[in-house]
Amino acid sequence: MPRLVKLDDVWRMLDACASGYTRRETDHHWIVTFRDFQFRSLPLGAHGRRVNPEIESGYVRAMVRMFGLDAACVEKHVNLR
Amino acid sequence: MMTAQDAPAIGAHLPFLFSYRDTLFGNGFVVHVEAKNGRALCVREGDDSWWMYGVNPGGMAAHGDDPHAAHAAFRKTFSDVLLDIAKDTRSFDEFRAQVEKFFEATNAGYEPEWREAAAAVRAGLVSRDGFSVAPADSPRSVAVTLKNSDNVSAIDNVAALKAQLAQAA
Repeated sequence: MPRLVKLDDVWRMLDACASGYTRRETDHHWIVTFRDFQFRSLPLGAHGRRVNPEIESGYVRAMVRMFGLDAACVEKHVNLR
Repeated sequence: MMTAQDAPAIGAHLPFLFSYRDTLFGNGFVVHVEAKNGRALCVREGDDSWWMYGVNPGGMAAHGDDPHAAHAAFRKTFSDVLLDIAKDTRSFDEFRAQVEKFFEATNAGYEPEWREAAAAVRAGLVSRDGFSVAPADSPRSVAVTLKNSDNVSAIDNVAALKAQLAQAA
């Protein structure tokens, strides 16, 4: 079972580590935009839409790598290991 | 199909090339999308899950219990992204531009590992695990074409079954 992280923690991480990012909800995913990058497959929730759902950490890992975010900053907010 | 005994170790990296075809409805148009030689890196992570990270398109990922399941989830996610783009765009030209931007976006964070993994496959250091092998420099492209009553056929209904996956070498 993949490790889960709380979506609110992901937003807090982006607030701190990806200043100026934007997010938008679609039928299937969250679209997160940072600078010229766009990550299009952040889940709405591992078990569907909920208040502060959990999502699988691999999606966040992929987004962090695409955006080139500072690893030390990211680790303060979410555990992606 | 790999067994538990011969499954790659945690941390294993499998470099893939994929080709997909989708036919879908947009706002006022029907469109065919043919993506060739997209790149993705499949990794067995420390929690024992398999993740398929897009390199091109870089803005997506999916997971499963093994590489085949991860790919099946990746394939579905790719189509879901196209559906999101179709809903968001008002014209064929806008749809095509957004699909091209999505497909060509690179996840530079995984690209070096994808290249290293392809070199390992090429050198025979990585099990092929039953996957076919294709040259790592196979030309990548995405073609977005308008469909109309003259160029639709029943074969469009099974486009989603035509996914092709190969290890890059």
